[in-house]
Amino acid sequence: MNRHWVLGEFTSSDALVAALKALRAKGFMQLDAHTPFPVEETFEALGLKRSWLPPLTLAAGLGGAAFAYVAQWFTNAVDYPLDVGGRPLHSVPTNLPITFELGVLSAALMVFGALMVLFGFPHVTHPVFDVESFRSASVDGFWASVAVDAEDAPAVEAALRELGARQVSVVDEGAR
Amino acid sequence: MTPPVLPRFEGGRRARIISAALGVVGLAATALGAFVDVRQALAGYLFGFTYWLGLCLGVLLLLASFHASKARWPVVLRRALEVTAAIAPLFLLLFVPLALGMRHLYPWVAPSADLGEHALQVLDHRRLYNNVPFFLVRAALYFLTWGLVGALLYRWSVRQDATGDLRWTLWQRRLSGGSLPALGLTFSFMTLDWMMSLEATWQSTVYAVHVFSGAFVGGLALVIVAGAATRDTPHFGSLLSPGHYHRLGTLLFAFICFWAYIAYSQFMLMWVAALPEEVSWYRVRLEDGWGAVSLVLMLGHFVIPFALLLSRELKARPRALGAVALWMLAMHAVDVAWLLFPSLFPEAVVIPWTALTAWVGVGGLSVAAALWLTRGAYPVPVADPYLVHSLQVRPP
Repeated sequence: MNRHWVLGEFTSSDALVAALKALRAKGFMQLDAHTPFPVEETFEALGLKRSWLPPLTLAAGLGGAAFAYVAQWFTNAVDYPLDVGGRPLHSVPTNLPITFELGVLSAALMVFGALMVLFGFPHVTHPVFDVESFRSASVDGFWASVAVDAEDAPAVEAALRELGARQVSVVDEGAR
Repeated sequence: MTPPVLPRFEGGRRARIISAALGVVGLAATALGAFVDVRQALAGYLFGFTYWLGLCLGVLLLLASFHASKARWPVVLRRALEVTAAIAPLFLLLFVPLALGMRHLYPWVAPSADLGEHALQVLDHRRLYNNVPFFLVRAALYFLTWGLVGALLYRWSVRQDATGDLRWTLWQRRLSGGSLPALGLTFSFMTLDWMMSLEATWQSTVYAVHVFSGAFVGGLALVIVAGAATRDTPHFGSLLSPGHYHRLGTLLFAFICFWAYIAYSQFMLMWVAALPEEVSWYRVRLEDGWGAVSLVLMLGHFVIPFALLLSRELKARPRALGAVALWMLAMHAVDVAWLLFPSLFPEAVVIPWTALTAWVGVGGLSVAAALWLTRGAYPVPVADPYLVHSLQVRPP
């Protein structure tokens, strides 16, 4: 089944935020906002949940650090004991730099990889970009987008017009 | 509707008198301690002195960095930073007991034969730099630099309050950018002169950076605590938004990491090399007694605040961040004590009681001096061109 998006362009960020709140009050939950610059109020108006990114990054960082420490301890003190200048085989201070480095590296790679997945990386475009007037989203237009089933589209269109949208378009995933 | 009017700071008389009284009582008690044991009293005094001077200079460096980087968001904090940085001349007065009692603290002033032949040779070799007249000349140069920069930055800022002339902003930026190298060098040599030379022969090239990172954390923590403590008054704390706390918290987090990085680098390099003239410094600090304090520092000055400050929500909440900052001010005291006392008394764990009285004494006078400077001035630089920008700062 094709997905549909109803797009509405507003002339100011305040109008957009008000419209998003009104749409949510009407029960439309699959909302998105496209603005020429970050508008902090939209985060709240869209009802975004907390991102998974911070906990994932923390877990990757801790995991990488733990792996680095265990690997050093196992290779230096257990598997192949090697006396270097009389230092202890299991020597905590010299293990810490690698532990730190691998922790940071794992966390950074997790940010990169997880962002790719959360962005939906293999898809580099989106059907809404086919709408010619949507280009104003990078200039001066504040767009609200509502993902809907085909039969709900007219109702959302009417709601957006009522909320003061300058123009309204419906995008059909299969149309191109 | 008329906009709310920001009052000038007229109160603080009570707080000024109380802290000045505490200061006098603390210093008097420290002076009494000198009749019991001069060396211990001076050691405690050096602790109180370096703790508060470090905060003052940390704030001065923070203020100069803000100006030099043309930062706009901290404008609302600036008056608090300016008065804290401008009290440096007070420490010239407080330096007198140290100058008078030098020979009780620093082994190079009158080296005793107990130090051993090697140490005596080293001290003799360093006599060109470490001698009493040059030591005093250097101290004068440090105070001149700090006093001049701190006083001018405050004075120009207050002048702008009255006239709104934009050239003061330009002058403050030029002075800050131009004086930062001098501030860095004087701070660095100050730590070598007044703190590291407590050791007869030990030396470390990152000692100054260690002291700086601790003092900078302390300075940031001080601003956060001051803001959080005055948030229900009509003064500067009431103007701080979660955005300011978030940014201050992020800076605090960064410099806590920097402190840990520097402290750890010095430790690991000396531990792994295990050269007798270097590792002695850590032997004193890692054995029983001070060893426990080292552990407290590692956990309390790095691990715990690191874990807490990872949270974005915590950094934006004044009360929570204020509590962490207060904890860091306490940990900074442990750091300073850990640097000084094992050098002064390597045989046993000695923390003279005068450390507490001197801490209260120097601190009381410092707070009183800062409040005295603030009287009649606006709690924020009201005519700064970026004040409105700063007031609108929001958390990311």
